[in-house]
Amino acid sequence: MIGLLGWLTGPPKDVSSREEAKKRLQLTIFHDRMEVMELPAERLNDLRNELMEVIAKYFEIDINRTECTLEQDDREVAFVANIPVKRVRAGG
Amino acid sequence: MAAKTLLFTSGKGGVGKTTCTANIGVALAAQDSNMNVCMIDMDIGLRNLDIQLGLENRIVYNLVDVIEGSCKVRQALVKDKRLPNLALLPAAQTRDKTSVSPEQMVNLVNELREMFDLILIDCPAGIEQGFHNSAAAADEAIVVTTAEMSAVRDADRVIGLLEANPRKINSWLLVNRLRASMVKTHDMMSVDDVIEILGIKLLGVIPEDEKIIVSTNKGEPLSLNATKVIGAGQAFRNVAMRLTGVEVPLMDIYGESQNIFIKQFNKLKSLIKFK
Repeated sequence: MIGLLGWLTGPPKDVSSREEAKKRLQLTIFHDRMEVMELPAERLNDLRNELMEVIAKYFEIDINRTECTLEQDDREVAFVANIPVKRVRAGG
Repeated sequence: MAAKTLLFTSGKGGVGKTTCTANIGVALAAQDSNMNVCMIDMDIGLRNLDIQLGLENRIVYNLVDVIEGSCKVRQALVKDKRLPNLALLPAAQTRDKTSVSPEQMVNLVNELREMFDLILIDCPAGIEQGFHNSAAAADEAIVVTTAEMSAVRDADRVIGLLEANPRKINSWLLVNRLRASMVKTHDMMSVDDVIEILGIKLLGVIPEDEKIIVSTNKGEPLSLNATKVIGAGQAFRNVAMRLTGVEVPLMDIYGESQNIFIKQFNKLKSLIKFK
């Protein structure tokens, strides 16, 4: 009876162990893949800083609002940078 | 007509690689008596494919004997009496994985390619030499996993290693021992969840089935005489058909009344076509 009720009302309101497993696994696998690619967090930070230096030569950027993340889609990882530009610097 | 070589691998042990290899190999040989199928047990030191197939008493020579030149490959092949077009190349039991090199495996498999139409390699657990030896000779991989966290994590690692191989070996997903009742109550990850995490194409889903234990006890793979329409034996046969290019919809493991699950599975059906 409880099983039938559960089926009628859909998944339980609190997070199911299935959801929890999926979330933990996604995070763990993401970190595993980064480790395999030999890209620890501090290297990613170095990349971000160097990238900002280069971009700042051409644009005046809002350094506090920049976002650099690694995103994954299927088995591919993409480096995504979101950098708000205030204005273009004069060519030199 | 060089035979294609499929690698059954998982990373984690105990997810059912050997059971899947044995059952799918038997189903392939049973569905087409003109197709010569060879199964290679690469688990040197811990061989088990022979017992799953009920061929353990007929082994004379093994894979290491062939590699070392102590016998011809034909002498080491054990023919299955039930299916004359099925043969097993057994692993050595008293040696270890370092007895073979990847180059030797490539040469051995190349010799077998001329004798058979399809070769299945049962890879040992782990990602060490036994895995590298097996992968060296494989054209494509079937990654076996259960819907459990550690199995899926290890499967991801193996898929990554196969992708990183200079030949970029393609992986197909085989979800084994799925417990439909637990997926329904959200106590276990679904096939969709596993596909989403691993990002590879699905080859098949094998339901948890107690009959597997009985069939292993007898040395008769379930796919040989299974009569149940919904069960592991038929699911293995479906995988075998997909491997030969036949489109077979996923088995309705969840039961007819669970419409929401059927919808999800219909979505998956479009994904399933091997080659």
